[in-house]
Amino acid sequence: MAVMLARRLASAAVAAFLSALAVFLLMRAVPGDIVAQMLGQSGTDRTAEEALRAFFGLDRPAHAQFLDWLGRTLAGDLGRSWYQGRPVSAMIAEAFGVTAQLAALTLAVATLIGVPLGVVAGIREGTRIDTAIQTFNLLGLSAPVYWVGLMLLVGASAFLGWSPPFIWRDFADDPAENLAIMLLPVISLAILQAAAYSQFVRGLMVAELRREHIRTAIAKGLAPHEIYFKHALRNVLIPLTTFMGLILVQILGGVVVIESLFSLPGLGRLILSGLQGRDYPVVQGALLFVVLIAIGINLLVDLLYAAIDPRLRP
Amino acid sequence: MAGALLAIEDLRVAFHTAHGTVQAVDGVSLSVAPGETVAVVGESGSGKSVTALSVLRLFGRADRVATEGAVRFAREGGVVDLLRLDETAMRAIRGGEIAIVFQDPSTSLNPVFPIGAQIAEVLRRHRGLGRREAFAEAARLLGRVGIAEPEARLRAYPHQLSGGMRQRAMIAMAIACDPRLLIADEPTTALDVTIQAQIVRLLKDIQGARGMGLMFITHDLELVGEIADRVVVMYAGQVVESGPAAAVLAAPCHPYTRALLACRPARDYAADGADTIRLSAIPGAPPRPGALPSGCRFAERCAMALPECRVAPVPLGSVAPGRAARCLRAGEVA
Repeated sequence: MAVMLARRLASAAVAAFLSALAVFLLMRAVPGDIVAQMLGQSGTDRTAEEALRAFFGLDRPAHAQFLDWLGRTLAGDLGRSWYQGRPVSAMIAEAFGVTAQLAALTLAVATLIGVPLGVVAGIREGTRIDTAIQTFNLLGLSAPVYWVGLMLLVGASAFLGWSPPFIWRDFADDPAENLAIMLLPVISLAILQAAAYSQFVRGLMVAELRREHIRTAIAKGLAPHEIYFKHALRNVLIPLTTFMGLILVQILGGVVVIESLFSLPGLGRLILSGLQGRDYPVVQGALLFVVLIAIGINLLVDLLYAAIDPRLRP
Repeated sequence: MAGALLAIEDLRVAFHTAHGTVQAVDGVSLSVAPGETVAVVGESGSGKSVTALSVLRLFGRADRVATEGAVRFAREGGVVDLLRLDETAMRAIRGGEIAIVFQDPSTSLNPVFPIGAQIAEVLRRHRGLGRREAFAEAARLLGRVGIAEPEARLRAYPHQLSGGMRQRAMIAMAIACDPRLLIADEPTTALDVTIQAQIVRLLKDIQGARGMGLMFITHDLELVGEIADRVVVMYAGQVVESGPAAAVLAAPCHPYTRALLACRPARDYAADGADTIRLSAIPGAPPRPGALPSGCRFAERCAMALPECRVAPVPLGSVAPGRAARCLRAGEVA
């Protein structure tokens, strides 16, 4: 177990380094930097341009910039935003609260809808209920998240005369207002993931119910609910854990789009606005943070796996 | 069949598949008396396992099965036809009055539950025991089937046990509720040879002690002599020979039974001490279920086949008291 953990941590460190390097290089491959943006169309003043480049450290060679950033990051300093002048770590912490809530709510809603649907479809394989659920899955999987979000937003205001509040509120400050803001973003993200869950769980359930130990359970005289929800579902939970991790990482990806669509001050919007302003410290810091979160989720899934599957216990 | 515990009468089982209907069992009759061991022998595809599964209606959920005939089982209250019993009544019989041990214990046990919990489950279901009593009884049962330190083994998961131990656990689960009939569907096929004999002895021992009827499905004639009172030989979905095990093995009346006996590996001890195993196989293959011949189903592979064997279906005829064979030349074979 300890060896496994050490090995996973080592590969996580390599993955984090490589993605940090990739983000750094990609940022600099995007045409235009903050200096060009500050000088705008009239940017012909060579001395001003050089002074600004030197100020942001953009005049130094790329590898020096990277090593400098890496060194500070390892020391726990992500630097300050070039636009707001605030510490990047503080901005990430603030934005992460929003994203974490959005992701957690989405995961909960998607799990609570998708898993039961998949279980029912698997048990009722080949019936009309199964067909109906699979149709939902197909629609859910093929509808783009931003489109669903847009339709919900338009639909709510056109038909219900309701639109989500504009000003962000933390759950702690104003739970009702906070949840009203979260409602549509969570639904738009959750539909896709619920459909993915449902389709995956259906397949697992169908396969599980064909296994020989299920025949043993029937031969023992157990009732259908014991066979389905105890003997089959307990086995299905094992691969489902991995899938939950994948779903969570996917949700983090979808968050970027949904946050900007609904103007939520989360990590997605932080990264997007940082990108637009070529605010390198913000983008690099926030993306590294997201990568670390994704790696952390996968690590957690592996640990959970060992707890759920008796065959992996020492 | 008065006095029988189980009487399968003219059982026909058909599977509807995408490639057409497969008549897996075609008019099988056999009976098991209380305390009797009946071996059902045949190659894979002969319909012996399907016959066994039909007793408890344990078909796969994807199978589209049509059954005809009757499977009469003598309960305390009277005789019931298991093919026509409703699901609720069937559940009371499964694991309670009739239990089954499957071929491969590594796939037949649920991998995520300790064996103690899996045995306790059936005790709680049929004998209404509480949690604590059920686990105590499960430990006693594990001891009964020869598992050392049964209390400690209760918490073992199937993957932590050897194949033989797993099959012992399966047997403990099967005998937990003192069934009147135990079906063993090739219970030793997936095990090492040395373990096979132990498991057979254990089954025989338990059966003797409890007076259970035992229906033993196997492809191994060697085992039949050791364990069975009577033997039923199946070929291509039909019974081709039946009778007292000793008599059938000593003097088979059907060429197929005789060929099966000839197939048993025989050991030759060479002068240098190395032993070689001689294996003779029956030439040819059983007919495909979709393309059954109009006459005797074994005729294609039979050394004694006559032109009239291929004309019309051969009936199962009595050849001696308690013995039957489906062969026109049964009298000559013996």
